[in-house]
Amino acid sequence: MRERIARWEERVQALAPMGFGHADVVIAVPQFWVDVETLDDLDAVCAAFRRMHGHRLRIATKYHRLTRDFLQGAGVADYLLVDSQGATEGTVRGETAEAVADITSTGETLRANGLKVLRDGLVHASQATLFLSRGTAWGANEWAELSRLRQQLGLPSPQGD
Amino acid sequence: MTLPARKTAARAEAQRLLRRFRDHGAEEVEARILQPAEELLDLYGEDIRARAFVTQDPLRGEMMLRPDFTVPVVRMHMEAGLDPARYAYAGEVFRAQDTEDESRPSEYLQAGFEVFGGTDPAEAEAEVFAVLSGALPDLHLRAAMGDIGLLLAAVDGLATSEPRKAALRRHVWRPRRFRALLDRYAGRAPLPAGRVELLAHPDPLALAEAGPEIGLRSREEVEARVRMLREDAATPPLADEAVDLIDAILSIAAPARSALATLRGLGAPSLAHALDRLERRLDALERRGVDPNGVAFEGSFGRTTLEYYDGFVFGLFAEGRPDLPPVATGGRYDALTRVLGRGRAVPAVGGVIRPELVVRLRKAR
Repeated sequence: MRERIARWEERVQALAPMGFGHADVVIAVPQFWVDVETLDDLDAVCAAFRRMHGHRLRIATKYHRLTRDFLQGAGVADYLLVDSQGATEGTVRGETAEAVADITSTGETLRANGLKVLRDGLVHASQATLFLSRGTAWGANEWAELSRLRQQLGLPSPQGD
Repeated sequence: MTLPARKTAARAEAQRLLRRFRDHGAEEVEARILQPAEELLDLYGEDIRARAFVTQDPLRGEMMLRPDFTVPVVRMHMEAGLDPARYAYAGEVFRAQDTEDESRPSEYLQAGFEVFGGTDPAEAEAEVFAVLSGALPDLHLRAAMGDIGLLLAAVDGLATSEPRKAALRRHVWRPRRFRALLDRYAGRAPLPAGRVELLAHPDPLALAEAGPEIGLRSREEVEARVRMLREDAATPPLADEAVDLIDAILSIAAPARSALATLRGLGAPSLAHALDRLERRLDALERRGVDPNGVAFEGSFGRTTLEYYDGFVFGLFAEGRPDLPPVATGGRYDALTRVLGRGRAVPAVGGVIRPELVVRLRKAR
């Protein structure tokens, strides 16, 4: 949701967290980078990497916008986001990226691929969530269906919105 | 006014500005709307993706709808430029407004005036300011200026290691990261957990949790940084006075002549040269009929703009309309010419006016 829709809060309303599908988008780097624990380290490595290799340090991800906003907010520079639509955790081994911004629930897949999560590298904590569109014109049937759904999920009735 | 009427009025204003700039000796130049994305990405980093429209050309690769004229004009000048040279241009620029106010347009006109080369930077800076503000006397705009050169001079003058200075210089345009670095170098922020143990370890890469050596960043690079971290840990913290000096520069906001006096009063030898330059600039402005005390000097002005200005920066704002973007902005960008000129640098200063805003403000009066 936050990845695809600009100003999402105005367009949809988060109705209920569903309590499943917990997953975090995190920044992960090779475990053997013993000198890198934080975004501060990552930023310093980006600068040195660019000087050494002549191109920016590549971070493979499917979540371009989340990752870019996060790194921009933290003031990390000299990195390049490269698109990865699957098996992102394997891109470092495959040398198509130096780091990843990937979704993980336990971190096990990342660890198995020789990667570790930065201490302050939590881009976004997510879980499956039911959203309600604020922009759609609804008829009586849709509203009835929504109130049935609310009951079923044990959600409170809407209060004026 | 209807949309076509507004557009026509803005185009006419852009042409009026262009004529004015030509009357000041500028040669009119054009730039393609589609610019190669790679160069812009290399200059500005990924952040620009959030601000510009990127598209795909099957033959030329990633292209960007020009977010400004500065880069193409610099490139043009560096390839076949006379020295000194003045350029003028007018046309649409495109900016994605992802996180900003929705009422801000994603395409708008810019009319610009740029001065390259010459032997007197203060004179060139005053000229650009005077030409732009002189083009809009009827709007009674509020003028503000800053000087990134002061901050860079303060960093250069720090009694600390070269890598620390380089890191601070690199982040002058990212206030948050700059502050974090300053806090760390001043010993005001804790080291990451485990850092002390890591640096004390004779062979950190032999630590149990160090995984396989994967990716392009080599073992040697990791070891080199560990050595650098050790050296950094042995570097004494910045003195409080050094941090205070940078804070004093960043927090100053006063009429330009008073700001100059205040900055002189700080008595920092590292600032002497940059302050002489500021003084020459104010004198040059005065000779051109601009009262320096009618311009606010703000120490942190220009640190978060798209253009990487590295000296004089300025903006002209509609009085009482903080909701509007600046009507005009500009500054010095010598470092950009060094990057695009592959080592060859030319002094360059310029600025742009937004004709749509000019028309809108005139209509509101």
